[in-house]
Amino acid sequence: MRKRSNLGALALKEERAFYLFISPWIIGFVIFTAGPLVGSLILSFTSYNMASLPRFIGINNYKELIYDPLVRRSLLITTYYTILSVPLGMILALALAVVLNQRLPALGVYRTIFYLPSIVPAVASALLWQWLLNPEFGIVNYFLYKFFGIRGPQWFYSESWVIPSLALMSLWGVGNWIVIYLASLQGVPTTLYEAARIDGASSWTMFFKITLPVISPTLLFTLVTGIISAFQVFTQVYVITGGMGGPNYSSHVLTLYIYRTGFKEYRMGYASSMAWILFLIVLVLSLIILKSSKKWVYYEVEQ
Amino acid sequence: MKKYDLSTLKYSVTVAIVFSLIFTLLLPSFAMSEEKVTITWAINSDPQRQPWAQSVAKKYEELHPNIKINLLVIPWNDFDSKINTLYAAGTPVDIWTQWGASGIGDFYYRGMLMDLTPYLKKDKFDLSDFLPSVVNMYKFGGKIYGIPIYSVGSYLYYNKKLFDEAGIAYPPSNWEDKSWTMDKFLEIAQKLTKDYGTPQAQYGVLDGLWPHNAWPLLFGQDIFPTSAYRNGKADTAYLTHPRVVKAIQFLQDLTYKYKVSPTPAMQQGMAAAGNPFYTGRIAMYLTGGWGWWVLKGLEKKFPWGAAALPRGATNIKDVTFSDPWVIAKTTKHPDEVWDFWKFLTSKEVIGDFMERVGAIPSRKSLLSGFYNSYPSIPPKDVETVVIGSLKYGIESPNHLMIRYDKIDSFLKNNFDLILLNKESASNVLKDMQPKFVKLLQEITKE
Repeated sequence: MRKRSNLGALALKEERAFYLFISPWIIGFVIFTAGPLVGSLILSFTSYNMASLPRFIGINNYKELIYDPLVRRSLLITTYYTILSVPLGMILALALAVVLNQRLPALGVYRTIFYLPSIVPAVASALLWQWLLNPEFGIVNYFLYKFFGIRGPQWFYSESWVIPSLALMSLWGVGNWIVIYLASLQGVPTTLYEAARIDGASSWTMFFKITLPVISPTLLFTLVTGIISAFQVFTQVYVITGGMGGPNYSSHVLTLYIYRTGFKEYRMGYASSMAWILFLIVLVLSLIILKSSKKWVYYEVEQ
Repeated sequence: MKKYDLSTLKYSVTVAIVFSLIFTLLLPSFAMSEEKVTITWAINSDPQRQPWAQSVAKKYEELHPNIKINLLVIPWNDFDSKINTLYAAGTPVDIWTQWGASGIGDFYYRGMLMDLTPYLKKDKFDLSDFLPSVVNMYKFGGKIYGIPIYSVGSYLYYNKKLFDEAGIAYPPSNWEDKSWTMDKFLEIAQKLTKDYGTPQAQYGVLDGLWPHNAWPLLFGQDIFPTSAYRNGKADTAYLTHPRVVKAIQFLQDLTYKYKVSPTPAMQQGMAAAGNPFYTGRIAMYLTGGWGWWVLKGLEKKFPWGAAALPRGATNIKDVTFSDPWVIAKTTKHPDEVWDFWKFLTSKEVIGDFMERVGAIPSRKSLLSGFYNSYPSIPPKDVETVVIGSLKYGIESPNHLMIRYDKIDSFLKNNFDLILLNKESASNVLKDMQPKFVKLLQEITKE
């Protein structure tokens, strides 16, 4: 152990080196993240149409968005999408991770196949799914009719099916979570399983009483990050609905409203206030989940 | 003993790398300011417009060695954002046109445009060669802010091969032909539709008219009051007018009752090669005048023509689209940019644009050149259909009204119910009317 008095020139040099190394990131963070964050907060109290200077209007934007029916509607639609896509995504990813955790031949091939969709760019996957789910000529409805004799829904052209279709599309990209869960699963000590087997536990009991609790920190992580990103869904909706959020506003997610208000209607102040409300909602949700996590998340360290 | 201290080496190397990174980032600002005047010109990224613009910029630079044209080629989706953010940052695009989603109205009402009237007067700019309909088109508050370089109407483009095969006479190019009614149009469409809904279907009609007042105008009633085109905003709307209801109901019936037009899902299925009309399985394609350049060259696949739109009333109008070059109010070089504006609006450059890109020139002296540019259409027919479309034309509201995008989003989303056959036109329009009027009245809310 180095004594404090020995932390002379060398430690100082290392400290300086640390700050130098980290300075590009700090500069980038300030310019591209923190700065715009503060800027948009200030803008949210103004009226700004990009052609003239921002005009201070106090909390009028926030007052307006409380009464704006489209804000409420957009929030509901975004929440609906999140409630569908996040739990389903987690369940599917976990199931696949458990399967891929076995000692099966050619496992690497399967892992690659399941991971690949998550690296397809969002725009490309949106176009692809538009084709797959075309009600008239898409493969999905074709198979549904051929093998099950049922006429598939109108998918992206139906008010009730458009959000489920978007959620379905998001399931295709769970590769990221599969990888995370796989790593977590492989960290579960096998001794626990052996002991349970000796006690005569079934696979299901082992899954619910051993696996889930031990990987619960990972589940918490993907739950929170999943919610944060699902609330901000934009690209797929924009590409598939031509930026309109249709049919008849049924896929009009909040980010779409923010984008249109700011960049098409030139009301940057109002758009900023909506963005901050979105941020606050997601923040509060995350805090609630984190608080509740004490009840169901198990950290090995505590034992 | 001088042992080479590794940590010092690491430290020095780190410092060197970081400083060189910062230096290269700051390098552009060290560039010496040139004596040349730089004019920033923005166009959207279109495969035909880009080479044209590059050659025009080069030619102008050759004629004016002290001018540098900074050509910005921006994708359609980002076009307005770029124009606005650069303007807001104090480094405006000097000259551009409405090649994004926003119309000139949006730029004018936010005070972004330079008044060209004093320059036009000073240089005694000759307006006599321009089509009468365009000269005052972008005149706001008595001042001219732009003069269109082209003006196109809306047309019925048709596949001559399909008409020939069925032995049906071509639709008329003459807008005065009162026999070209919606009934006649429907009759022909029905004859030319086969195997509806199947992958190999042939459809009599594909509708691409826009904006949403286009069909009502064909039945004799606009959804906006005429004052909206002058003032940039409307305080009322006519969605429930019987003619408007009739028009929209007819549009819905084309797909779901008469089954001569593909559903949106079927259209998307045909859109693999781009426009469904390219597949050769659409007999009549009603759309705006961008068809003139979008369909250029299609005659290599099958001969096509352009006809007048069918009439659902005695007095019909078609929507015109005319784009002018406009100059930023805060441009740092008004005189130089004005000279460039004159160059872009000159007969040579408009003529060049017409030849390369294919739009109806706004200069009368260039029209015959346009009439002769379509191998599958006799020049006389082109002339007839063009003259009529401009005679009965009304400029698109999205060019002249504030925040038309908000209007467009409302209309499109609500019309989904009609175009997806969820509700009758009458019910939807009745439901829309009060909401639409409220939207229009609040549209100037900052």
